[in-house]
Amino acid sequence: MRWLVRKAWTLVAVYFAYMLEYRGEIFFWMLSGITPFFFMSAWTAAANQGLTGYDANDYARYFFAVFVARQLGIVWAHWNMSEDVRSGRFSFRLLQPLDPVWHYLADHVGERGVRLPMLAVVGLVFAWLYPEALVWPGAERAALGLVAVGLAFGVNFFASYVVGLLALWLEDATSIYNLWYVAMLFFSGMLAPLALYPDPVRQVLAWTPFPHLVYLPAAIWSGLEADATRGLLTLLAWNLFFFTLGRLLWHLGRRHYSAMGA
Amino acid sequence: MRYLKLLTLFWQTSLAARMEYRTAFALAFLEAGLEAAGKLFGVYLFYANGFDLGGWRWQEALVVLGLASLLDAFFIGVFNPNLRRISEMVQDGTLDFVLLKPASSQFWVSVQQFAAEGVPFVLMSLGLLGYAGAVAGLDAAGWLRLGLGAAAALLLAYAVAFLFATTSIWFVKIFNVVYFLNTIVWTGQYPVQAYSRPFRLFMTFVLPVYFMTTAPAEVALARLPASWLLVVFAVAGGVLVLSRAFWRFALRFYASASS
Amino acid sequence: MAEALGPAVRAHNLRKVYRVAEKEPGFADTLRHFVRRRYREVEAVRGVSFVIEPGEIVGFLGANGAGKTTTLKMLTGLIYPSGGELEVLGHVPYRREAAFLRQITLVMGNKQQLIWDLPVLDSLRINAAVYEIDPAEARRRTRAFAELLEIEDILTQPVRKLSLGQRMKAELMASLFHLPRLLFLDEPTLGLDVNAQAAVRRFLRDYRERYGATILLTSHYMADIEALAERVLVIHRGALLYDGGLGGLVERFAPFKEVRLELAAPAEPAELAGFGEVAEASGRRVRLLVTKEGLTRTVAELLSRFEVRDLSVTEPPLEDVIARVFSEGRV
Repeated sequence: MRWLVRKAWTLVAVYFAYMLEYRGEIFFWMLSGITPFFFMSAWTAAANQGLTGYDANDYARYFFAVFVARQLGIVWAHWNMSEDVRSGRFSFRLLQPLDPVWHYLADHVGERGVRLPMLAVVGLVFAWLYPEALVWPGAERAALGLVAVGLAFGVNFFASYVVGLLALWLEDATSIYNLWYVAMLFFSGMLAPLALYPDPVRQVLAWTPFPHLVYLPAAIWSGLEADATRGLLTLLAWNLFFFTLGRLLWHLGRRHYSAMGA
Repeated sequence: MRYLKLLTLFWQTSLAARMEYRTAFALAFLEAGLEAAGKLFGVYLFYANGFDLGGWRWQEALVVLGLASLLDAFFIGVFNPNLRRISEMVQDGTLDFVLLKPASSQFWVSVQQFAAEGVPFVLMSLGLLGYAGAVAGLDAAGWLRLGLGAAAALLLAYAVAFLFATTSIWFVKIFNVVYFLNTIVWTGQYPVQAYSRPFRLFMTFVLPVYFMTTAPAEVALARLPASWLLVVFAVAGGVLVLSRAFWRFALRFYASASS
Repeated sequence: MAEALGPAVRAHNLRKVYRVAEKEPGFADTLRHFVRRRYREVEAVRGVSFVIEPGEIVGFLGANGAGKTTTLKMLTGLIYPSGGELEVLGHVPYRREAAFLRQITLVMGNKQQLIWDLPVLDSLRINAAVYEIDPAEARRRTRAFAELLEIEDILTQPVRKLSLGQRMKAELMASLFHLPRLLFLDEPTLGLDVNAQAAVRRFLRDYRERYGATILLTSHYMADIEALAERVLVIHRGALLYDGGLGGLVERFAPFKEVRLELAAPAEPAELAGFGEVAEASGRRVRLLVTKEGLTRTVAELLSRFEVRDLSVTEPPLEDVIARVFSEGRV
């Protein structure tokens, strides 16, 4: 137990230091996540013509929450893994008496430590530009949103891990993740609040992980309507699904990797 | 025509290299389809809720979307793989070899690679653009203006992107710049009139997204006089000259990797 | 630590077969290759057997592609054998049990495990946690290793700023930080200058003495093998050609002595050919390989036939012997 804590802490601390070296990159990466603000601008223009059920402040609040939820859910484990396999570093990972997934997880957790302060800065700028839009949702909603974000991160991470494991079979597995990414861009509520999506689309999407990855936490934070119980349960189910799939692929992939040559 | 020959050779070899990755290629088709559908859906959402994106008819807005998709395809097929390569070359010092070649180094580093995954995206965007032009009722002259506008837009997108790519001489790992540039193009999916005023100004004067998608579409649809094409070309040419100068300037700081 | 009494490595009839895709150059074949792939079976290791006892240092020789790295990877459990039996420290390697992994290490001269953008110390911290070395002990080891390798002053620099030699030393330090009993070293001195090579050798010898470790190493530099290994395994096209002492290798593959001559006047190679294999003849300097049985007679004849300024008889350099083995591929 003592060693478990020490391992976890050391890994996170070292990867935090590592990510600190990449603060410039992470900053650019965050900048590339500003699309929600453009959608905000367009939808606000629509709201000003009195076209939708939300007003300008609703949109500002919602899209800011979308931005935050998205930033906290970003993962790249698929990239880590295929890079490790390509460079041969994966062999070293296999020779350590520790499952490599912990390295990738620690890498992500450590990075959040660098991203959070930057996120706070964006939040301050936003608060300065749209002072009336930023409202504290209350401790309960804030916490609930965080739980949703945590579960969403889990789904993202395990899905990315699954894709990364495919790198043990396919030379170029990372492109598979693009499909996931594209689906998320359009179906997670980043384009618009889910209420504006046509009903049939919404009903289908409810069963997929996508709307719960971004819309759920954003809606909880910004006070839009959301079925939190159902959303969280769906996220939990998808977490289990990808986790199980990941462990299965890990066992098969290890065998395959050993058969084909490291 | 030495450069054309070089270009064919470059793209043939990199196509051969990329086609080793069969799954990636097959997936790219799926991805391109999904992305086109998603983009259409994004525009559809506005019109379904009664907002006309700043006074554009649905068919007209699709022309803007088509141009944005074309730029996207250009990034995926040509620009991104080359930027990745430039970054690598600076890192491991192989840029030395390029600088020693008797050909324009900017040309060399810009078109050396071609990603096969870009092909389905190019096809999809051309399809989208063709469909949009047809439903918007373009006449022969309109198609010509659209073609010229698209050319100017590509030139401009390249010049802006290269301007950013050049910074890799100083900042070795700038791959996230790619995501940032993709975001720029992303915002060009909708006519700038759809955005509120500060955003509109930003997209016209800071990052010239307006000239990449909205302006060429306006010319093609005769919302602006054809002479505006000259303005678009002038902006593209201006940024291109700037990017060339910046590249040359940056090379002075290129310290070839020691090991 | 010293529990297993049996051999450190026991390999019997070890085999490994790979399937590789083939492609001709040219665009037409690219397309063909895209649609339908041709595969070919390559037998990288074909029935290799050997035993390594605890505490031995064994050199593993072979040309590129002879099957050295494949064998090493089977021994470490990274790849599993297509056939044969293999036991390393009493474990079956490819099961990769933690108890096994804690006792071995693999160093690859052309690959690195250190985190590129961080100081060496950070990578060591991770290794200390992963191998459950407590902080006080980790600090002690850091000091001891750094002193041995003479890299105390670079531990706080990012790895990317280090020279190749420093990086390799740091790499060794990280790989041996958990004090493994069995070391697999694949080209540990690759690309290093003579000083750094010597330092790495010295370190490995020290480490072996201190911890009684078993070492199996491959190298292209014969000096490494000569300085470290008491015994060599020679592998050629996947099969074991020789297993025994270094001296025996020379006996077996080079029953020659090298005769160096300095002549008063240049001689034609044709004139010399009758005396032995001419290894070198540039003007007045001549190197001849002469069979051991005929050595005295040949030297006497040389002295009577030519006006000789200087003459010496030595063992042929190991490099030449090895090159002969590989080019002839004989047993």
